[in-house]
Amino acid sequence: MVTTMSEMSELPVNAPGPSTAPVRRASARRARRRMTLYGWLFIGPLILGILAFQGIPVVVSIYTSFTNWDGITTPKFLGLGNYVRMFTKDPQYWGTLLNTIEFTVGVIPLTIIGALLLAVLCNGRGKVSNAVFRTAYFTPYVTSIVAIGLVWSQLFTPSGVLNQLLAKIGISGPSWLTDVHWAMPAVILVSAWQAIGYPMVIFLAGLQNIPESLHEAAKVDGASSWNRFLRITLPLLTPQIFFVLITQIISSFQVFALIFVMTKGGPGTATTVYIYYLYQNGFTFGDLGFASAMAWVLFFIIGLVTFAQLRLQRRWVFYND
Amino acid sequence: MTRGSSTMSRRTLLTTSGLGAAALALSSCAKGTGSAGAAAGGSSNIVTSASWEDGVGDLLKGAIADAWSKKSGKKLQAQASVSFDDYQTRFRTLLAGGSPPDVMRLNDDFLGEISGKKLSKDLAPYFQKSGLNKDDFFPIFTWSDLPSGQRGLVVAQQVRVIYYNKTMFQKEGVPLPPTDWVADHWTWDDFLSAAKALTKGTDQYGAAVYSDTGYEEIWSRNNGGEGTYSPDGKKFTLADPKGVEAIQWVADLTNKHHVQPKWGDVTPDQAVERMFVAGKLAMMLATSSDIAYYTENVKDFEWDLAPIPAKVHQYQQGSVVLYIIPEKGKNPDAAWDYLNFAIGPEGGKFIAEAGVSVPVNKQAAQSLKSPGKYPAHIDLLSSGADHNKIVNFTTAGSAAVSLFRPQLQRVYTGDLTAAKALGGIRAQVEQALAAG
Amino acid sequence: MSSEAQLAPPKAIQTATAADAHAARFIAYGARWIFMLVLAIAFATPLLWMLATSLKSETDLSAHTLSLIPQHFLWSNYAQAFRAISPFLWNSVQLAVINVVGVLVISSIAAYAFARLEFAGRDVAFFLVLATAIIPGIVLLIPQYIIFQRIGWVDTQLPLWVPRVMTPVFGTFLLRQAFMGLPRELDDAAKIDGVSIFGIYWRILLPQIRPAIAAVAVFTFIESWNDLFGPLIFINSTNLATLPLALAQFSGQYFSTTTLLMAASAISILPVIVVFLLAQRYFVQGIAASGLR
Repeated sequence: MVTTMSEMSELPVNAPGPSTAPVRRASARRARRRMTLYGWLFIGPLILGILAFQGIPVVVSIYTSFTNWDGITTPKFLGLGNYVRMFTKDPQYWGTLLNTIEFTVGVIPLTIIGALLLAVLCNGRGKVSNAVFRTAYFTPYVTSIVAIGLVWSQLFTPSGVLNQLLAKIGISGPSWLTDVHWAMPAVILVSAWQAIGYPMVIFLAGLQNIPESLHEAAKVDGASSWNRFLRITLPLLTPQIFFVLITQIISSFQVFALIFVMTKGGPGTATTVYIYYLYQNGFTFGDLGFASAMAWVLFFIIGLVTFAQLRLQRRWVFYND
Repeated sequence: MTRGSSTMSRRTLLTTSGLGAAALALSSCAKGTGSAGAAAGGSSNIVTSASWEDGVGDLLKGAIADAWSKKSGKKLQAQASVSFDDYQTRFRTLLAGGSPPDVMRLNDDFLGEISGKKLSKDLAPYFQKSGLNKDDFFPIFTWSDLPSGQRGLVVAQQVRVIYYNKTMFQKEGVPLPPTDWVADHWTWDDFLSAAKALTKGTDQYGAAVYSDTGYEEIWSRNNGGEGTYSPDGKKFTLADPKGVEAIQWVADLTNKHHVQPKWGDVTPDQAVERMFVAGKLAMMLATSSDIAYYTENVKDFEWDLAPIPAKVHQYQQGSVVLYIIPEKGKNPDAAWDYLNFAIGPEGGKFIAEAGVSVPVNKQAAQSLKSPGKYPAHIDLLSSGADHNKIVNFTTAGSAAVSLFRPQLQRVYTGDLTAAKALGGIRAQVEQALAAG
Repeated sequence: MSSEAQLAPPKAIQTATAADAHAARFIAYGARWIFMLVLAIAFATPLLWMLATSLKSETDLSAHTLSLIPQHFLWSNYAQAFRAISPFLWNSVQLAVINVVGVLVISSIAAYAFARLEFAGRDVAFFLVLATAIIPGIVLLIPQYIIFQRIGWVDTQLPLWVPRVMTPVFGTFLLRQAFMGLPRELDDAAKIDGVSIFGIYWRILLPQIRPAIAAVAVFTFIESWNDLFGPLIFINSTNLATLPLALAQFSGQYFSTTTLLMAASAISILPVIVVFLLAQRYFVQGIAASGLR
């Protein structure tokens, strides 16, 4: 039985020598039990909260997915009916899933690479300029989604600002939000614009933990800023990048508010994403059972993606311990 | 480790914020003032209500509620108002919770479902008890009478009319539309020629019709068709030849005659309203609920109301201001008392005099008044109420709409013909209607 | 990257290359500034349009929808909007404070346990926490509503903070990452000094992750401040309503008073920007970063 470093440090400093091995094994066990107690005590409120506020609703929701509940009247048990309908009979389901994947694939690189760039730019030496620029890039994130939808709908009209700007460089812009091919890119653009503040702040926080001394040493060795970014900053930021990737993918798969406010899934079904279709089924068509089934399939999909990311993290995420 | 004064100030900061938060947290247990009334001994003098923000809703929870209070000694307690879109989520949870408010506004799209599931009270017994005579009300009053009972109450109606820029007509020398629901010089052809005369490239458009989805029912009926759905709600009659022809005619206003703004320009929120206010649009189809907006914001020209252009018929499609008494409401009798007042001559008078809507009570509708100098012919609304044809009931209206409207949008952009679009989606729509 | 011994170039060439290097750095510096400015303007333009709209009259908005400059600056819009939403301001503030403090307390201690303590079931618990984030919340809305209705929490503020404070999933995740980025030597040194497990968290590690704490505080504040669905579903009485609900006053079913809506939105963004400006001061070097190596 090997005692780990942390367990050994639990022992009193003036521990007796090797002849007291059985005693040390016993106190090691006690130390482990104390650690378990502490661990569960500290995560207690969190776990309690999850069980209390998510536990029962989750169970109810899973059961609902096997019924035709509308939220109000008595449900009728359907077995796997909802799931079968979803995968084989529903005309819109696969389309919305594809739309959601298209959205995610579009938004994630834009948001993360953009945020990384902005965070590095806003981490200069001027305190005031930092504050100003950080606020400028962050403000979209804090604006109410209703206002954002309204504003951008205006900017995207065929005779709107965006097309006016494009006209100046000789491009005849499409009628964005009413064009089946351009509505999704428009939504992706607005979404990235709005969401970029969040990862930017995460990266800013992470950049602070990179010792200036490392950069200084590298500069002395003659490394260019690009090299320093690649060899020092990026590896040390991988915990934050990992966090951002996981959280942003989760939230992209669940995009809803922007669609609700800006396009209502249109034109046609070009921007109908998963949660929007789920909401329609649940609250407009009154089929909460089907909506719940959709929710759990999504849970499974995102769960798989997240699990894969967690497994792969050992390959590229660099923790400082 | 930092010590000394910085630790002290850190500790005080943390303690004060902790205590502050704890104090706030404790106070957050307090119930809202709305619930306090109902909870205190289940007082039957308080009627709770829920609605979304709009002109009529404001009157109903404001002036009308106050007048009723004075008369009955009871009080109306309105829940927090939300936006129209958000109410869609809210009303379902309110009903699900088992303690819904006593009176609830309902989007007419949902009456089929709510009534069919008997989630709101059948009001027929209340009508009898109060001695109501159906002839006192406009025909739309019986719209909520379904096989499952009359489980919703039409309190007022929004009438659809053509708003027009009178100054622009006079400037271009185009004869003004008729001032009553007659077909004199106001057929579809007349409408089109007026629109052509009033269009100037992209600076000024003659008409905007497809910006209001109500046109689907109106134009198809006026063309001699059955409207969007068959009377039994199972067939998608908009895809019949008469319906297709009507849709194509409206789409051609944009793509063939260029008198209607492009689809992409009318979709943003209130784009058409703004065009009208800015004097860039000669005529637009809209409901009477817009009157308040134009009264407030049109500054540069005279405007008025005109009837819908006629072909085989001259119908309009009104939308209703609908209220229900949830089956599980705690105070249905007082709730009925309030609603009865609202649809009576006194309650209706408030609505008519504000010019925001046509009350369902015929007597009250006589006091219909313009909220400002315009429109001069607000009486078109009450006469329009007699030309009302609302879309036939279906149990899967929302599902059907979500299927065919996207296809219609492709007709507006010139992508598809109406025949192809509607014909192509017909099977799916009828499947949804059958399943609902 | 070790420096190699080199023959020093003659002095004249040295100063020439030094001057070139200076010029290059100056250009790079300038280019960087211009780039940031252009980006900032691109980012801010939609918001500038929002501000411009908030100062117009509806008629002006209709006539010149896209212009960034109002015909007349209608400052009264702000007075009117403020009067309409000020009753809701305090509720939003109250909830935001409770949420931020609560989330910081619970997520930081849990994050510490996940990052530093080894105990049975730790990884399973962490998976559970993460899994919670993946559930599309919208399907839980009605079951949660029914439960809260039964325990009498509907129409109080409790559903607007207790669930969030007790399940701070992202906060825990972010702080865990931050803790894991701190070197173990800190813990070990403290243990040798006899600091307790809680003490290591409270006195040693927590102060080191101030930037991350600031980030979690800001995001929790924003989430609470802009939360619409919570108040929409769980609040009935007007006196408990929060700012996002208040904006509904300007959005009618058929038309909205866009100018006032923009003014109200601008007013509601202001406190958030203030919070952000205060918090972003903490995005500075932590002690561990500059000291230990």
